Amino acid sequence: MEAARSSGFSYIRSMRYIILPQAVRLTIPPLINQFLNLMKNSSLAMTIGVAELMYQARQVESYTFKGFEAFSAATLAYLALSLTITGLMTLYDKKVLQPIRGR
Amino acid sequence: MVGGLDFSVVRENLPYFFLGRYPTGPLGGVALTLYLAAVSLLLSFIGGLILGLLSVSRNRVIKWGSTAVIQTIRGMPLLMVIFWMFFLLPAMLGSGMTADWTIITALTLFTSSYMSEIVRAGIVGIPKGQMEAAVSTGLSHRQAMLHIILPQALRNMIPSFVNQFVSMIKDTSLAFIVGVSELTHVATQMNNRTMLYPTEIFLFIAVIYFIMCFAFTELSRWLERRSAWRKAI
Repeated sequence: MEAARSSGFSYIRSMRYIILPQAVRLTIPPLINQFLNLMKNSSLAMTIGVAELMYQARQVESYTFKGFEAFSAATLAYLALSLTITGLMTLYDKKVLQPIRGR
Repeated sequence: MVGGLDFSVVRENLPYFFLGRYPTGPLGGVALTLYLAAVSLLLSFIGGLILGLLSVSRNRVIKWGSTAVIQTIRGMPLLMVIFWMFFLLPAMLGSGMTADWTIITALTLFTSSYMSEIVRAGIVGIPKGQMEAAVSTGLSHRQAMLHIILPQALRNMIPSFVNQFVSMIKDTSLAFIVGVSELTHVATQMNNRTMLYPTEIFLFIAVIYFIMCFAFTELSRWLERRSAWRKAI
């Protein structure tokens, strides 16, 4: 920040061009983490009748009486989503953050 | 009357909110919420400790197996775990379990996998020299883990455990979906019966949840301060 200010950037410009671009890179992992939590919490929306994954699973279950299959499918969907995102995060950490930290 | 709200419905049913139909019937309300949270916490403390220790095991099969279990449960919403228990346990055990124990099992499974991460982090957080020193004094790896590493790690984990307990209290509110008469279920019931006072009822239970969680958060802060003080010496 001090370097940015002393090279003639205003406070807002140094925030915009120097600090934030660096900070955002570091906030991505916690942000994604929060997203994963939120995704799982979205299943609570079914209690007030929002037709998301969990609600549909229950719907299928009550149409077909095949609870096991319906919930297996929904579980796999949740797992696939969260594991894929976790995998991408690990990749991001290795490819993007490690080199920065190494410097 | 407070700002057009009529809390008499809450006042009249206060015992019901706190105890359910306890003296004459099953326990419910706040008492059941705390009971569910406490029992599940105790069980998931044990489960988390076991899973956590397995996930730092030197045996690769055990390590990968336990990590797979932990990741699977962590990748599922709690609601999903509850439904699985609700549908699978009766199928597996033959006879149905009581709803209370269904919830306790689900909460235990779910929280165990989160606690195992706390345990793992706690164990990994102890400097390597401790283990090396313990092993070089002639203890086996297992003894060193049990007598040297774990006691230190556990002390560092206490605040996280209390935080987990706070989440647990909030998570028990999901039990209402399978008909366990804890606080949220009692409130829903009361709302369905009286029809006119949803704001009052849910405001009231929000305050109760807040008080419970706030108390335990303060406890965890206090514990954190205390352990920081002890470390400083």
